[in-house]
Amino acid sequence: MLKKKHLFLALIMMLLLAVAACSNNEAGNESDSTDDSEGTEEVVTYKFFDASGPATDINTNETTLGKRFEEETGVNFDIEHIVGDVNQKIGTMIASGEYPELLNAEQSTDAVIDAGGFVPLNDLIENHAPNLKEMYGPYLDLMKRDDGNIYVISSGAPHGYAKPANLNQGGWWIKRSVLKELGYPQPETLDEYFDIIEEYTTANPTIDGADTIGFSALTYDWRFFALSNQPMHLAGFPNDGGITVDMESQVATVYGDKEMTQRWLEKLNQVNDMGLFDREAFTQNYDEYLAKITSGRLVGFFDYRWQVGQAMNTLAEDENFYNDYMAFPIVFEEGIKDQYLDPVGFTASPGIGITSGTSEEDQIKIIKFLDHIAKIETQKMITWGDPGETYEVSEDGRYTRTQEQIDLTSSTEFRDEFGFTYFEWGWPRMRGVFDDGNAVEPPKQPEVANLMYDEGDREFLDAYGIQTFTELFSEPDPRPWFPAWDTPIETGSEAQLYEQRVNDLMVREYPEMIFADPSEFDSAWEEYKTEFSELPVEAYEEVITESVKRKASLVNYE
Amino acid sequence: MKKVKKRKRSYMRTREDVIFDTSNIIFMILLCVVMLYPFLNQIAISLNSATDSVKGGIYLWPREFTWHNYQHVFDKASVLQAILISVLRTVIGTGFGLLCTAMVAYAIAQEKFVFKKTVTIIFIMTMYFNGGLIPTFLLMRDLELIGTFWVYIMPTLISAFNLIIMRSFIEGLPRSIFEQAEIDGAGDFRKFFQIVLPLSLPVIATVALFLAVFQWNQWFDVFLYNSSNEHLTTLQYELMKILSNSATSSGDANSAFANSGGGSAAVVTPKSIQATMTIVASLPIICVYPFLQKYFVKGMTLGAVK
Amino acid sequence: MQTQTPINTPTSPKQTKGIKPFLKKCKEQRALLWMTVPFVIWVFIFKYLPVWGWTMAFQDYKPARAFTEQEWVGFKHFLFLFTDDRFLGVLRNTLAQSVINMVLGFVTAIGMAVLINELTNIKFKRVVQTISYLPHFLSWVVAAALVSSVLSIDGIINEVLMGLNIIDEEILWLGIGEYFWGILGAAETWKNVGWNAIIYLAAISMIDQEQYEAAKIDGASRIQRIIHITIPGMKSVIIVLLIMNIGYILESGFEPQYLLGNGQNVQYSENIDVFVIKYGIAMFNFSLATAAGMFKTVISFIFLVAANSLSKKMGQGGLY
Repeated sequence: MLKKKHLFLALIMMLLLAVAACSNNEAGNESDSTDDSEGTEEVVTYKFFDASGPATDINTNETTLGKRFEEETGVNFDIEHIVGDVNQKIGTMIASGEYPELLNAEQSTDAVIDAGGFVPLNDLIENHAPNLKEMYGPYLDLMKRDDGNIYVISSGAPHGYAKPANLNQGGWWIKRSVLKELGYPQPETLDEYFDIIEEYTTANPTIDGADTIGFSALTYDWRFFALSNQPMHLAGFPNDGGITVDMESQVATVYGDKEMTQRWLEKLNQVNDMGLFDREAFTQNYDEYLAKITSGRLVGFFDYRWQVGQAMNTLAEDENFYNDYMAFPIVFEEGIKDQYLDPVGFTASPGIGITSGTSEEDQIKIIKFLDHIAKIETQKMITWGDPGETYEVSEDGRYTRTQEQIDLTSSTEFRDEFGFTYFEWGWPRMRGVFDDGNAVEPPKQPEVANLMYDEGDREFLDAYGIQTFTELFSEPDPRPWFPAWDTPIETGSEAQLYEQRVNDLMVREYPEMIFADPSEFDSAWEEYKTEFSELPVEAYEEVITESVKRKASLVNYE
Repeated sequence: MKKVKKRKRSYMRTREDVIFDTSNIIFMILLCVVMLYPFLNQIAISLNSATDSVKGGIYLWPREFTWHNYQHVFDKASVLQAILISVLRTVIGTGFGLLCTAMVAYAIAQEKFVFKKTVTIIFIMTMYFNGGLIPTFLLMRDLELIGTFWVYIMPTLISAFNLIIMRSFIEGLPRSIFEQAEIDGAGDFRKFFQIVLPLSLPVIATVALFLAVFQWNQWFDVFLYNSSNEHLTTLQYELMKILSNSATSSGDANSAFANSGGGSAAVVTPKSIQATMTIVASLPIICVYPFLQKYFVKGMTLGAVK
Repeated sequence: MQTQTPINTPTSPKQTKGIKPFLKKCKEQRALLWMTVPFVIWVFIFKYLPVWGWTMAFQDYKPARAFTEQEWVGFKHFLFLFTDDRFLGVLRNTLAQSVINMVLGFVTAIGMAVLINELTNIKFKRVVQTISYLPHFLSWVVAAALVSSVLSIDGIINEVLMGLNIIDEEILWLGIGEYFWGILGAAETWKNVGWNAIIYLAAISMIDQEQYEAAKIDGASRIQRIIHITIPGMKSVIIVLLIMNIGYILESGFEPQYLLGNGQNVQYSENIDVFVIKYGIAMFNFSLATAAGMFKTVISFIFLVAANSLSKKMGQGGLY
C-alpha cells in the first residue's frame, strides 16, 4: 500500500511542477511578444497569413531580400503558411473577424470578400502606389469585383510572352531509350503516338525482368484531371479546365460528353484491348505512379510536368539519361495546331489583400511596401537576384547565369536564405519579359536554359534538330480569357455542384468505359452520356462564358 | 505473482497445454512480423535518400543510406520548443484528465448517488454529437483560451468513453472492500484516494495510455487555435508543417517559377518526410506502453487489501 | 428495432420522495457532488454550448454574418442529402463498413487479449503486446500506402497466391468493388487489433487469480478456463463497449475510404463522411456537414437507447 501511495504523490508532484513550469513559460513568452509589437516607430511588423501553399514560417527580415526591404520601407512581415484545410482555417478567421493584416485566402478569397474581410484597395493604389498601378495597368479593371472594388492583388501581371525552354505544362511523354531504339521518331497524332508504344512493347515485352507497361495514367484523388483533360488538348486547346472556348464567339462549352471525349476514351479502350494500358491506372496512388515512371518499365504517359516533378528529378539525377522522358505535342489528327503551352493570361484571384481592422496608417505602410516590390529594380531582384552574385549581365544587356550561379540558385538552402522562396511568387509580380528584353523568370531566358542542358539532353536536341525542348510545341494563340478555370464559382451554386458531380461521374465511369470489351464500348458511352445529360451543364457553361466574355472585353494581349 | 508461478510448476503440463502454447507462440510470432514490418519499412525509407525512394521498392533496408531526412526534420530551432510543449501537454493533459475522469467515474459508480443516472447520461450523450468547428472555435475565443496552453487541456479534460470504461471497472470492484472502509468511517474522498485508485491500477494505466496517446498525437487544435503562437507549437504540428513543405521543395507545386533545372541533391519528398515523421513522432509515445505494462500483468490481489 | 423506447430520463428522487429527504440525501452525498458538479458545469460549457451551431443545418450559413442575418432555408440541406441518388448506396456502405469493422474489431481484439494472456513467458508477452499495437501509430496515409502496395499486381498477396497456384492471373484487389468492405475490415483490424486489445487485457488483469487456481484443481482445461473464467471476467467491459459502439453505427471513418477509394470501387467505398467531405467541407458548405452530423447523432441516439434497453432486458446491465 505504502508504495502505491508514493506513486500517487509523485504523480501529483509532477503535475504541480509541470503546471508551474508551464505558466512560467507562458509568462515569459507573453512579455516577449508585447515587446516587439508596440516598439519604436522605426520598423513595423505585420502578420501575413499565406494560404497559397506551404513553406517555412518566417519573418521576412530573416532573409537577405526581406532585410533589404525592411531597411528601405520600415516594414517586415511575420509570414504564417497554411498547414491543414484552407476552408476550415479561413472559416474560423471569418467567423471570429480576426484577421492578420495581410492575407492570401486562396480558394476562400471570395468568402473573405463576402464577409467584408478585405478593404478596397482602389484609393490606396491610386494615391500611394504608382509602381503597382503601372505594372498592373491594364489588369486593374480585371481585378475589380462586381462592386467596382479591388480587394486582392494577384501575382503575375503579364508583360509580353516568353516561351519557356522546358515544358512545364502538359505533354505526351515517351521514354528516351524507346525513342533511341526506334530511331528518334517524332509522333504528331494520337495514332502515331500509340503506334510507337505498340511497336516498342511488342518488341520488348519485358524491361529488366519486369513486364513492360505501355501507357499509364494518374487518376489519384484530385489529380484525376490528368486523364480527363486530354480531349481538350488533343483537339488543340490549352488547359482551360473542363471546357473549351470558341475563339470567335467566346462561348464556353463543356466537352466531357462531346465527340472528342468519346474519341479519346475509345482510343484508350482499344489500347487497353491490345494490352498496352496499365491495369492499375485507376487503383494506384500517387507514389506508386511516380515509382512506375522512375522504374524504367513505363513507355509513355500524359501528364503535366509539375505533377511529375519528383519522378523527373529522380530520373535526372541518376546516370542513365536514357531513362528520362521527352514530351511531344500530340493532337487528334494532322492539321490541328497544338496548344499545350499556356498562353499569356492573368488570374485576378486569389491574391493578397489588406484586411479590415487594419488602421489607415498601417494600410498605407503596407501598400507602400507592395509598391516597393512592384518597382522594376525590385522585380529583377526577386527573380534574378543580385548582378555579379546570382546572375551576370553581358555587354549587350542580356542576363545570364554561370553554371555555379545556376547551382547556387537551385539550392534550397540558398533560396530560403536569400528569400527567393518567399518573394519570387505571391507578391506583386510581373510575368513575361522586362522592357529590356530579358525574361522575368530566369529559366525562361534562353541563355540560362541552354546552360542547364546536359549531355543526354543535347543528344536528343540534336537528334530532333531543335534548340530547346519546347521548340516542338506551337506558340500559344492569344486568348485573353485564359485561364478560364479561374472563374469565381459561387458557393452553393448549381455551377459549383456541377464541378463536383461531373468529377464523381467521370471517376466512376471512365474505368468502366476504358476496360470494357471493345464491342461494349458504345453502349457504355451512351450510358455515361445519359447520366452526363442530367447534370446542370448549362448553368456551368453560362457562368464560365460570362466570365470569359468579361475578361476578353477588358484586356487584349495582342 | 511469485505465488502463482510456484503453484503452476506443481501442475503437470498436459499434452493439450503444450499444443496450445506452441501454436499460440507460433501465431504470435507471425503476428509480430506483420505488425512490425511497416515500422521497419518506414525506418528504412526514412534512412534512404529521398530522390531514390521515389523509385519505390524499399523494404527492410535502405538502398542509399542518408541521415538527410532526419537532419531536415531537426533542422528547425522551433523543434526543441515543440517537443517541450508536446511533453508538457501530454504530461499535464494525462494527469489532469486521469484525476478528473477517475473522480467522476467513482461518483457515478456509486449505487447510492442521487444523480448517478443524470450525470451518466449527460456525459454519454457527448460522445455522439459535436457543435461543429466554428461554434467550438468561437467558444474558445470567448473563453480567451486561444493563444494559451490551456486550450490543449481544458476542452478535452474528460472523454465520455474513458469515463464509462473507468466506471465499469470501478463497479466491478467487490463491495466488501468498501464496507470495511465505511465501518472505519471513511468518507468518499478517502475511499476514492485510498481504495479505488490503488485497486484500479490496470484501468488507470489503460486510460492514462489513451489520454497520453491522444494528447501526443493532436495537431488539429494547434492548427486551429495556436498556429500563430510559435512558443505553443507542438511536435506533431511542426512535423505536419515540414510534411506539407516537402511537397513544395520536392519541386511539385511552384517549380514552374523556380530553377527547375536539375534540382539539387538536398531535396526531400513527402514520402521520405512522412516516413521520418512516423518514426520521430511515434517512437517516444510507443515507449510509454512498456512502462505501463506492469500494471496489467500484476492482477488484483484482493488478499492484500483485505 | 424499438424506436418507441423513450429515453430513460431519470426520475429525480424529489418526485417520489419529496423535497426534504432529497436535500438531506444531497447533503449526505456532498462529497460526491463536489466530485461531479464542477465537471457537469464543464461539460455543459465545452460540449453542450457549441450545439447552437446546429442551427447552421437550417441556414445557408455564411461565417461572416451575425446569427440574425443568416439566411434560413429550412430542411434544404437535409433534403439535398437524403434525395441524392447516391444517398442510399452511401448509407448502405456506411452501415456495411461499420458493422463489419465492429464485428471484426470485437472478435479479434478479444481473441488477441485472451491469447496474449495465455502466453506464459512474461518477457515475450510484453514484447508481443508492444509490437501488436505498433500499427495503431501509423497515420492512415502511411497505412493505406502499405495496404495499396501489398494488394497491387506485383504485391505480396498476388505473388503468394500465384506461387501457390490458387489463382492464374493477378487480381486487382482494389479494382473490384465487392472486395472493398473486406479489405477495409482487414486493414482496420490489422491496424487496431493490438490497440483495442489493451482494454481487455486490463479487464483480464482485474480477474481474481484464485479463480484460475481453483479451476485448475478441478481439472478444467485451458480452453475451458478461457471460456468459463476469462471471457465472463471481461463481460461487463465487453457489454459496455458494445453498446457504446452500436451508437457509432454511422461512424465508419473516412480516411481509409478516402485514401483507398477509387473509381472502380467507389460504389462500395464511398460512405457518408466521404460524401460530406466532397459536397460539404470542400465546397465551403458548413451547413451540409452540420446537417449530416445531426442526422448521424439522431441515428446514434436511437441505436444507443435500443441497445441499452435490449441489454437491460437481457439482464446484462446497461450503460446508464
